[in-house]
Amino acid sequence: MLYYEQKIAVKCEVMKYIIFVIAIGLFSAEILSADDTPYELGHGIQIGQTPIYAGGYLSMEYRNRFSGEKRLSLDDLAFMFYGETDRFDYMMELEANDVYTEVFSGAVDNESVNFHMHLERFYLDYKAEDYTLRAGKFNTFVGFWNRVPINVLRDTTSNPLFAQYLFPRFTSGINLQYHPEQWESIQINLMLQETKDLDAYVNDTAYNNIPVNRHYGIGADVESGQVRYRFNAGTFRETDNTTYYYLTGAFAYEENLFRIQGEIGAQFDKDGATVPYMGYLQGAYRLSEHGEVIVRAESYDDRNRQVSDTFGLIGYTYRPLYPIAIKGEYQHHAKHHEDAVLFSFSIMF
Amino acid sequence: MRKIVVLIFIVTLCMHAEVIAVVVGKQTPIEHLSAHQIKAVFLKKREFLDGIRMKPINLSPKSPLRRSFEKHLLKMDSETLERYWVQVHYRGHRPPYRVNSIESMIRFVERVRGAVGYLPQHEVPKDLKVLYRIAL
Repeated sequence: MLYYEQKIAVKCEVMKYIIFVIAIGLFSAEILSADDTPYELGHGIQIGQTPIYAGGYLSMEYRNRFSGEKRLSLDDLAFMFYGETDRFDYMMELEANDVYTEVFSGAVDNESVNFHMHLERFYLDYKAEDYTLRAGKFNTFVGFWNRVPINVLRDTTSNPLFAQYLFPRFTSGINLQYHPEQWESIQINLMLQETKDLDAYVNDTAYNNIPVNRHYGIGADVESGQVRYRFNAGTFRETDNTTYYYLTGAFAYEENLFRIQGEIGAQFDKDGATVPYMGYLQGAYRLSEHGEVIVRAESYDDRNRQVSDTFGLIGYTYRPLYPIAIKGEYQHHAKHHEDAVLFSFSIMF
Repeated sequence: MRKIVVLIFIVTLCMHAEVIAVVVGKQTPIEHLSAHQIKAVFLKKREFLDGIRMKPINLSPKSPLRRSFEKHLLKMDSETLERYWVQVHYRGHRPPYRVNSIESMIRFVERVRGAVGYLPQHEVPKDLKVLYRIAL
């Protein structure tokens, strides 16, 4: 009896937290918005007449591995504060991960609650005519997926493994983006990190990232008509002093109704390939104003984790408004015990 | 006689063909922009041109002129653009400043250095510079 009372208490606590967040959002939209700029969902809001804009996102996910656990979670809750001036841009994002998680596996359910906020992004940009210099913690400029990795913006509930294991998802250091005017369709990114993750100075463990204390990377973004390419190379050192090297390439072709995107990469250490290949090819077709179907094939050989797999997924995303996403997907793996269905609800405000 | 009638017909058609003019004020020392540059400015992929901080100005989303501009120059439909601007919000940037009328667009472009907007060709005042024309 006591067990169920505790569960109800936990759920009430989480519900109160969510209601509080939504109330704050509505209050902000109504009270803090500048008079001449109506609030639009997914575009953030100016805080009074200050040069600061606020926004955020949350996502809830249900994952059912047919041969294993079922998991329900409020997996992301984040608040962003940012602004722009003539020469400087700034951004701070705080995020709580797995705010509420319930795992159903066997006779007893496990649930956990976590309201701890992490520093997801925190940076200052200096903009000059031909380059932008960024200092702080930011999404690593590799490929396509890693630059807009949050549930509500990505195409499917699941992330491709490409965006999780090959390179650090975040870099804490500096990034020099070089984009001279005469290079209309090319820009170069140079990333340097020589410290541990900024969030690790507050929280001991690496959050949402490979635990690294060094990362050097270089990348080229090229656009040619409706085709975009990304090429990246880099090296990073994990906190246990193992050094890895990565090499990636990506392309995307986009029409108004459909998109095709693929990314592939490899990772090495001093002894040879640790991930000989890891990549995906994805197509997305807009069926209606609000609905899109997504098909993706992924394959990888990860010798670090001693796993390899090839799998495909088909998903459908319904967006009543673009910043609200209701997604479902089915994954079929060559390793049968990994088959899964995933559903999610996510919103950006 | 028949040739003259055909010529008059063609000239009349051309006079009525709609043209959108991309404009800046006289205090913005830019004389010409390519379609690629205008697209980069309005998508806020490029913020500086010739050392000037560019300030793209949009009409309201329901404006037919804005829709024509987006369709013919940006070559993006409203759903694709909405996706783009929500992603831009995640990256910590804002969409172009919005005005509610052509008169406001003219005033803003006239007064603000670096401001760039779009107008129907026949409504461009003499003291604005046309950098690019989009024939519809």
